[in-house]
Amino acid sequence: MKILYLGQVTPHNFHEQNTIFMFLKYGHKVCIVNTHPSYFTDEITGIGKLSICNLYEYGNPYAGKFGSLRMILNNFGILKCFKQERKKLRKFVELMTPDVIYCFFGVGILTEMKMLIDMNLGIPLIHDIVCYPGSLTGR
Amino acid sequence: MRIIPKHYLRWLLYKSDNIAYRSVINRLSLRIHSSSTMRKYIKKIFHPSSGKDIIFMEYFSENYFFKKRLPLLSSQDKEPHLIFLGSTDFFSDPVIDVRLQLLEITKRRIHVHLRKPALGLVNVPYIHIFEGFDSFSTFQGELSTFMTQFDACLVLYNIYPGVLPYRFHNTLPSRFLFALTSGIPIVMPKDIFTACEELISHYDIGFAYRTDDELSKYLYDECFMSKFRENAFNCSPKFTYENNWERLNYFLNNLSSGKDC
Repeated sequence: MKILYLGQVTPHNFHEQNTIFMFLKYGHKVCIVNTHPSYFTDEITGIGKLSICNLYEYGNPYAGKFGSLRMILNNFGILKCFKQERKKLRKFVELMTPDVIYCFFGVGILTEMKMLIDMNLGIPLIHDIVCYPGSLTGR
Repeated sequence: MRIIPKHYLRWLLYKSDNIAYRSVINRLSLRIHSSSTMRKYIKKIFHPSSGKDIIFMEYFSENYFFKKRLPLLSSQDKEPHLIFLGSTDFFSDPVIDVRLQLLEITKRRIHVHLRKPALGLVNVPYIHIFEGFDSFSTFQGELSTFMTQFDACLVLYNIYPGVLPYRFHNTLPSRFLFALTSGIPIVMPKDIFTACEELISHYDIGFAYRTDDELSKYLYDECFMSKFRENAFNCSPKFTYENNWERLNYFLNNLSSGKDC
């Protein structure tokens, strides 16, 4: 199975690394965005079957204080400057043709989930609600 | 001068979370809740009418679990030793600033071990500071093995007046989940971490305390603690991702093949 994984992966995001590791360990193919290959331990990259697309040039634009603000504005339709990102995400999803899209909680994910829903791709969307409330727009 | 109190900003963020999430929730094929408390909360707030729900906590892979048991520090000095895994960059956020709570605990001859930088707690009696573990060594189980020398893992946040409690009721924080990888008892203040309390109560692997005196009383009760110690060790295999993988994989496979979960 091919899983598109949306979540913020950094060296200290143990849960994200752990979940991706498990998907790979049991033979699924994982495509991720918004990260840098060096963030992963050798155990994870060593398995193979991991595709990384640097959609936002190694950083999630919705992370951090200003990121939260951008996301809130975007979610409420106040700021419409995400056409490029939406296009990139759509292109990536069409290229990867995932069987499911797995969204790991957290800041920024909501915007991406909304983008995907608006695209009407027909791909099952999963949200892992690890932490709520206070996780989608920042604590 | 602060124009809007921080706790009001926090309340606004919670509200905006709910407003924003409302537009997404019914379009999800599967919602994975980290606890039954989380599921109840989501149901109460949003009343989702489509999509599936499962409760599946954030298990760690067996790689993260302890590789051997170290001798208990308390066996040497006959005083309890706790480990605290939360961030110790205490000045970055009032919610993580637990210095006062830790100092109260140490006054009762309880040792607390925490990682660097532990700002404001350096050279304090009964406070011990260790080097943090990087992601690679954590993945190899070194943190969990290190934790086996402690009597219990302390789960704590600074829940001051004005902090909304829901997040702490619903969520299983990392400082709690890592304790499960070490097979040691878990302790926490009562009625704050509802989901965590439910889990430790279900498996009988720790306790929630009302006062610091109560915490001290139980930690010094060897008979009381040995039951938790044994249960925590015996239960630890139940908390590996590998041992729970099939349940999640069943839903993933059904979703990808278009079957009803």
